[in-house]
Amino acid sequence: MNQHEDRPDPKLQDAIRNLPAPTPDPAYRERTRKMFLGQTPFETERFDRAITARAWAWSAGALAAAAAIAVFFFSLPGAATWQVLDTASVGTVTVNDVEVPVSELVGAELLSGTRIRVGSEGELKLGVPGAVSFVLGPDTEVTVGSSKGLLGSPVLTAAIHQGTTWGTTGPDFPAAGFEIETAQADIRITGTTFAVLSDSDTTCVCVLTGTVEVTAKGTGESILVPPEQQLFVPTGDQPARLVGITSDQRERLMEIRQLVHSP
Amino acid sequence: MTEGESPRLSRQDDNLTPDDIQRVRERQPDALNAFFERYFNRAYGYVCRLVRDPDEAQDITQVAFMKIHRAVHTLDPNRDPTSWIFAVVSNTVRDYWRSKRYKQSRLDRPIEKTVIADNLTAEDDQNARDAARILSRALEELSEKLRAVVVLRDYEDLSYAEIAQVLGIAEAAARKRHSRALTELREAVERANRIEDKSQEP
Repeated sequence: MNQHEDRPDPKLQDAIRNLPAPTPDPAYRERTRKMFLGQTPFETERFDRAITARAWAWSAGALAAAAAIAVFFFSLPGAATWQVLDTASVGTVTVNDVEVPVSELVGAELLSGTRIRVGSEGELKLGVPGAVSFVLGPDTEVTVGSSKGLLGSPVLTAAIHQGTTWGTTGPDFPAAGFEIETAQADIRITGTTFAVLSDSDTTCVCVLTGTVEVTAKGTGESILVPPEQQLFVPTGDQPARLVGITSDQRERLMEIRQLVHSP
Repeated sequence: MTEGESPRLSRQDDNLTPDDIQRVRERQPDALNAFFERYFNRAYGYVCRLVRDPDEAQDITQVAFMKIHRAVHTLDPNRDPTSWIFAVVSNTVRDYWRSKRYKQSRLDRPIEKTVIADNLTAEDDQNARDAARILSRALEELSEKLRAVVVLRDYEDLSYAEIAQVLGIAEAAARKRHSRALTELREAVERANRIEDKSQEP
């Protein structure tokens, strides 16, 4: 019998069970409880930003509501559908409320209206080979679709319900570009590697290469976000703020940039 | 519970009903508060045992609960959320281990503190205290992978199927890791006891 076959040890396991539990400092616990109840904002600046996912809060018809919807419109020549390109995750993904092992999704074409939710671990890569790649981060939910655009050309769409996505365009991407809309901003992308994060208070557009034109809904100002910069667009009439991207963001966006040429 | 079966709200000590979870999904304050009270200390204890640094454990647990807070609306009212909670916490710990800050902290400062078994009451006898101290130390010396399985199985009472879900591994792998962990713990405790016995010899 392999020495690592299941050999329970009730006495040892009881001893483990009876170990006293580490208890949190009461003041820290109370602070965190208030954050969890939404009474105060979460304070996690000490933690690496690269590992803190900013959630996107969505609701249907969100343009007039506090939550934001980001909608991507693509115009691509010929027949083009969303495909699952590859994945770095294990486990399952929920597709139209059905859990599916990720391994079964690679290479699959997604019908219009398919709703995908990535679990709290792993990622999922979607896109059109050579033209555009998107990575859905952990806890991200997206509905993909397609429709007819001007002159009957197929238009790919995606609505992000929650989570974070990163995108990059490739050599086959059309000059028309594509547009993203959130509650705070209209964003037009013309071939670049970028990330868009949005919640009920702020939209942040991070750009690695190319430029992205952002129109702040609150102030009406139009800003071109150049490479290696990120723009924070708050709700209301406060001005948008442009700062450099961090090394972690650059690293992540460079990884995304490779995706469009990946098999 | 058979392999592949989803965890159900059927545990003897589980008081969460589908209605409770639905209210959490709707972020009703009293439901969120009860949810926090139910899971926070458990999550904190789990993180402490994994990272062995109380300051980092505080940050990590807080980040995990931020993620949980943002995603509660995705909870399935008909499923026990325990394994999901621990999956989020485990992933947050894993992100920390991958972070530059963790790697730097290992270079700067070896972890010497024991975060377990420091709060036995005065009534506990000396032998029990020593035994707990030895076991705690042995648990700390396990690799993070093995320690996680032991804590989830023997402390948190999760099934192997749930542990597999939390850690993103196969159920058979969870069983093997648990078995290996118990073997290593047993050997470490026996070794420590032999050393203690020798040190007390006249």
